Amino acid sequence: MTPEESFAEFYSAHKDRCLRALVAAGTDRAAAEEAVAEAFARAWASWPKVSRHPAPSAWVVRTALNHHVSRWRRTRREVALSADVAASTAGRAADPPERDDLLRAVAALPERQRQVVALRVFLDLDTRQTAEALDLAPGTVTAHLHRALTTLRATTAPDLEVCS
Amino acid sequence: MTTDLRTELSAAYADVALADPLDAVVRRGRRIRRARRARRVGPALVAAAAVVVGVTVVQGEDAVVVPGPIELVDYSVPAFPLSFDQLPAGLVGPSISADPSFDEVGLGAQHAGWSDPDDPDNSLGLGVHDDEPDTSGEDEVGEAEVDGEDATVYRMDVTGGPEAYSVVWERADDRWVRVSGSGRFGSEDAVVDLARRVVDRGMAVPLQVALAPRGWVVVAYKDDRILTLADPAGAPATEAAARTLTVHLPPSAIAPADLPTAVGSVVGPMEQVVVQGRPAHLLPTADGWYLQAEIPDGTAFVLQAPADFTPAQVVAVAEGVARP
Repeated sequence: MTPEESFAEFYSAHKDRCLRALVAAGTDRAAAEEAVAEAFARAWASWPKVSRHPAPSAWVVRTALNHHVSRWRRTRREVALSADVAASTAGRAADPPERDDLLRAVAALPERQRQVVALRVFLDLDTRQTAEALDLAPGTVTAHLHRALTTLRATTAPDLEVCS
Repeated sequence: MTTDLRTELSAAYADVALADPLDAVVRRGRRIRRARRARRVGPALVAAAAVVVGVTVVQGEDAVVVPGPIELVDYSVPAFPLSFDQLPAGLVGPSISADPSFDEVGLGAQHAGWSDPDDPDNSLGLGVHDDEPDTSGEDEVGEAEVDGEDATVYRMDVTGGPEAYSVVWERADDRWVRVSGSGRFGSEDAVVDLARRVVDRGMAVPLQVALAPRGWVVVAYKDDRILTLADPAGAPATEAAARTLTVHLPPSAIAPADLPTAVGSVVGPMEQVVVQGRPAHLLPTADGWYLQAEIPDGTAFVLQAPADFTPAQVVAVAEGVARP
């Protein structure tokens, strides 16, 4: 497989999941699209290195998160997450109300907890990979996930689990 | 029966999809590679750029002896790189600005704008970009040849606003240029005609410093109000960890007695110093130095510099702040 083919395969398989992870982690949709597209472009610019990364999608999301947090972009267009999620869910009449409640509860989590949940859910990363992507200690990731699930169970679904 | 977080969130975000086509991402990646290569051969390119508009990298020949860990050298801020060979009548400007690059310590997009004082709907813009400018939300309506390059014409539909068109092309030097027009310049013919009148003639940046740290680069400016340089050894100026030197002209000065409270995070006593023959006030803060001074016409300016500048170096840079 040529580098072009392997990158195309990677892009096709992961572009939407990476974007969903960033949006679920609390990034405004428009800013997330820009950040993820930029991160994939950087991935291609360094494909010989990134393709050997144990979790290239985690590399992309980390790059996108770093790209997004610049203060210039924050001042320009960051949208409050709660408002963004509320707006995006309001239009989906087909969604069951329990799902809306869950989305709002996720949106209300502290930033790091949201990021951990997003990476575990959408990228299917294990604790070590999540820790690397977010530059956290593995124990901190475990603690954030535990606290997030405890909060979500208490506020929305007592039977909530993260199934494989 | 359990509620599966993965299932619920995946369903909730099912319509969140990245629309960027693969070839656009690959092209963007190639530009990033080219920019990296250009940085590796930076000195040669800088010398070439100097012929036309000066250098963004501070490389003065004569060090100015102001003891301290930073070496200050003579400098003048490089010009906005392009202009029109002849500006249409009745416009005022330019208002020029530059945003910092997100990828490196350097300039990102630069923009010059002109408008008609009698009818602000009639406006003209000239942008210079390292990457292909974002045209999302605009309709591609035509193609043209500009300076031997293929250019694309876009129309922007602004509800209730004037007709707005732009033409975008990549120059041989890898920079992207965007000429935009609205009102009486808002037509395909008008923007293409204006695009063909773009020339490599610089326009002076109206806020200047006469001294700057050797090796630092200009990363942002806005008219005669803001100028920022950054240390290339630091992070890009879009990040909080960047090491920057910023001059800005606030709408009004802060009364000296109020400065410590207004500035905040002060970590030492405020000193009164003399800058350009006038009293000025220097405060050490947790984020570096904060100096409030005046240029000779009495306009206040603020200079912010990293903490490893000496007080004498902060004052020396401030001595050279000017609005020619």
